[in-house]
Amino acid sequence: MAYRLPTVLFYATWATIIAAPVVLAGLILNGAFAPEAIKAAFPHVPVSDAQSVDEIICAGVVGLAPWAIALWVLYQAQALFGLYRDGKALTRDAAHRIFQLGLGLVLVAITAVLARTAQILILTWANEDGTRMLAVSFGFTHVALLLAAGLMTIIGRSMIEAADAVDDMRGIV
Amino acid sequence: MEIVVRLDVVLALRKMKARDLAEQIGISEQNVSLLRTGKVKGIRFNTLARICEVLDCQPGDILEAVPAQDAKA
Repeated sequence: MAYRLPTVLFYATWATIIAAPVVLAGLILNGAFAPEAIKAAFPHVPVSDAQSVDEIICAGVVGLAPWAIALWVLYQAQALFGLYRDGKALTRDAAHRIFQLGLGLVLVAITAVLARTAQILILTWANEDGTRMLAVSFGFTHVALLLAAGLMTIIGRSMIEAADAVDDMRGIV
Repeated sequence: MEIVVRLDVVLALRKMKARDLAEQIGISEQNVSLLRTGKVKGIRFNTLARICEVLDCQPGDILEAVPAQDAKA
């Protein structure tokens, strides 16, 4: 039995969306969000012993923000693949989904930078004056993601314009 | 004001069928039908020109601007 690519991608994205909370639950159960594990994830950040457990866990939870947005991006992707599967590739709806995908990825890139900064700040909040940290890391991965996401947003925007133009032309004989 | 299509009238005067017109101007019968019933958003100049050529008439014979209330009547 032959499967078309959009159908495969549609079900693959749905499977990922469903698997994400399961993976998160597994990580929680395996202690990935335990204070020691969170501290170990930031080996170069001096976390004071005065830091409360709640604050350390809060820092871990903040790190989930980009993943939550990525999940929303996946939801947009499954909707787009669903449209492709139904042969509605050149519609305004598909264009809008591409635009939202791009926008979502821009947010993922920005949130990834901000979340790490916030995590480090939260982890060192109870430190003595002069030893608190505010670090912003911005690497090639973020730049590449931003460029790709920006490009996708522009393509989506252009496709919306094109779909509107096609819609205007429809009904003209 | 609204634009009303009088293609039916001109076709009747010329004793021509919509199918023949569609064939001669090179658009689908369905599009001619939509045009006759005014269920189109617009008409291209070249379509209008071909209709005028085939029916030997002026654009004003096919299209008429009428007040909105009269158009609904």
